[in-house]
Amino acid sequence: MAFVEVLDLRKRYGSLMAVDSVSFEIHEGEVFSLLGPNGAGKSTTIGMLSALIEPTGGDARIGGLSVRGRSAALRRSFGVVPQEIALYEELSAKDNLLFWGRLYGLRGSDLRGRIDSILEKVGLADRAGSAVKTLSGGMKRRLNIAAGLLHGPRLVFMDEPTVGIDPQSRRSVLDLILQLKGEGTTILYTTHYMTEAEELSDRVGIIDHGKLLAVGTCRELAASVGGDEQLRVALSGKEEGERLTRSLRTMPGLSVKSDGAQVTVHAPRVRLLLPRIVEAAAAVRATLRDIEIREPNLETVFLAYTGRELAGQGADVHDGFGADVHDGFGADVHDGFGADVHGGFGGAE
Amino acid sequence: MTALIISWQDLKRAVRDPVGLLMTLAVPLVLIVAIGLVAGHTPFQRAPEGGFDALSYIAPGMALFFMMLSVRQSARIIAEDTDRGIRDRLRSAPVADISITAGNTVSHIVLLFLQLLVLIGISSLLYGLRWGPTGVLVLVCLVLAVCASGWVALLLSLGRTPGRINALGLALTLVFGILSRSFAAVIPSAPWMNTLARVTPNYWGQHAFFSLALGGGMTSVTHDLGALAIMCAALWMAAALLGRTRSVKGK
Repeated sequence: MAFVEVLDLRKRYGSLMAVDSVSFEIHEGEVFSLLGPNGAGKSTTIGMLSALIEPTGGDARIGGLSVRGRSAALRRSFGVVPQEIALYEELSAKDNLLFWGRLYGLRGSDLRGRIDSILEKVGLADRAGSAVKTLSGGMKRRLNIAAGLLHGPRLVFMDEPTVGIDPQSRRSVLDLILQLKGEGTTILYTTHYMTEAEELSDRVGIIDHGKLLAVGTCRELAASVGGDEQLRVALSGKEEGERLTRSLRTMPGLSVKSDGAQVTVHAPRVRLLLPRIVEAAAAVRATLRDIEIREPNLETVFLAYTGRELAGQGADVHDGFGADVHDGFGADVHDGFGADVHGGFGGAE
Repeated sequence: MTALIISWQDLKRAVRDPVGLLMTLAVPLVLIVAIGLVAGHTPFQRAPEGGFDALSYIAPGMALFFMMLSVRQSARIIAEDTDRGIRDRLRSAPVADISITAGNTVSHIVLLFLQLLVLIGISSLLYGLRWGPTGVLVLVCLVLAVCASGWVALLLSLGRTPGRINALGLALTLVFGILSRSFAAVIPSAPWMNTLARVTPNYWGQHAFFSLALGGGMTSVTHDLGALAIMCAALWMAAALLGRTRSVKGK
């Protein structure tokens, strides 16, 4: 049985339908991500599930309790990690946790023990007495998460907890979430970073303009849109791009798009055609500056479901998790899932 | 119980906020000391009986002027908490909304009350200023602080964002100060200003302080305390109605 059941949930602000008939389930111990650009309805959905926003229609149940009642038992059953650093800057990390713990009815040695344990877990044991305002952005993020976990909830709502931090801090936050996942905590995670959704989630929901467009594992979602690989070639100039596009369009089974000095090729197993594409580039005297192969990923899924890319909607594609591979010939080869793609090609001329 | 936990947290924050302490206590104290020296007072000597004493006229108005500045500060802090997601985090915890409001309000009342008491206490100790019978004086300060909490609520409902609350709060403080002649109580003003001044807590507070300083007791301030209590109730009702209207409109 599902631990979280979201049933036809809706939220309207005037003429704007912020969340439009969203339904999904989250099973106990699962990490479920809502992936979508800014303004897609992710935070509003979490707001309704965490009993902060009254739904216009529909309902959601957490452990059998309706969010509409805003009961104390419901609110005790989950932890919230908001997008903002919802902490008192003037007070120490420990004082903040003491406060939030007391609001959940924790007292005395039990509370102190939990604080020591959670500070150890988020790597802030040595900064317990430091005022929040003196902590780095990444430390504040981890403390923000600690405050949501202190009372030991079975379910945690995390609303874009890695926004605005450097890659190293983001890595440590993601490692912490993976640790929670390993411990069996149920997590509803919102993000506009595909790489995070892919790395953390058991299942992903694609949300845009308030509508939940698709739900499934990354592989299920990729399979649902056909699963073509994508190859992008960056050339020295627009004319080279046009020459290569004309040449590639003569090859059967390829879908070729040209955008100035960049040519994009879609095909089921496009990497097998790489030597022929490099040969074609050499034949039309085009200089390859960069080649990128993308397996079908959440970006392609998002593109297929919404008709636009998630990148450029306030999201990144290559954010430090995908590996950049230099092959020694001047061309960088990227892979959407962070896998290395080696090729003995490069500056074909 | 949770309301007390929230109040205590707010008080701890206030004590650790150097800018807040500077604005609510340090600046008015320095002004009182400076004005006292200009007015010819010698520190730690009792003011002479009879005759005109500028500080006696100015000190109550100043205390009320800075109380209104603190009202602005209190409202701004709540708005900042909302911006920082603290209020949402409080509301997602198993705490009743009324406990959150009560917790915030009690802490503001305590801070405003203490601010008035400290200013009155320092001016009494330093320059021997006569404020009247202690018990009634404390009651007047308490009622003023409670009434000021109504202004915090209204300012918050009207302004909503820290920037707007800052601007609106400053405007209110200055207008109330001018209407009630906080810094120049001895200068006569137009009758319409006197009438308009009745919507300010400064007017009733000043009147109560002067009555007590001139030898009055509880009966001399009953009228002022009643007016402040009515004002407080009206402010809270207006703030609640405004909040509910916005909530219904989904803003």
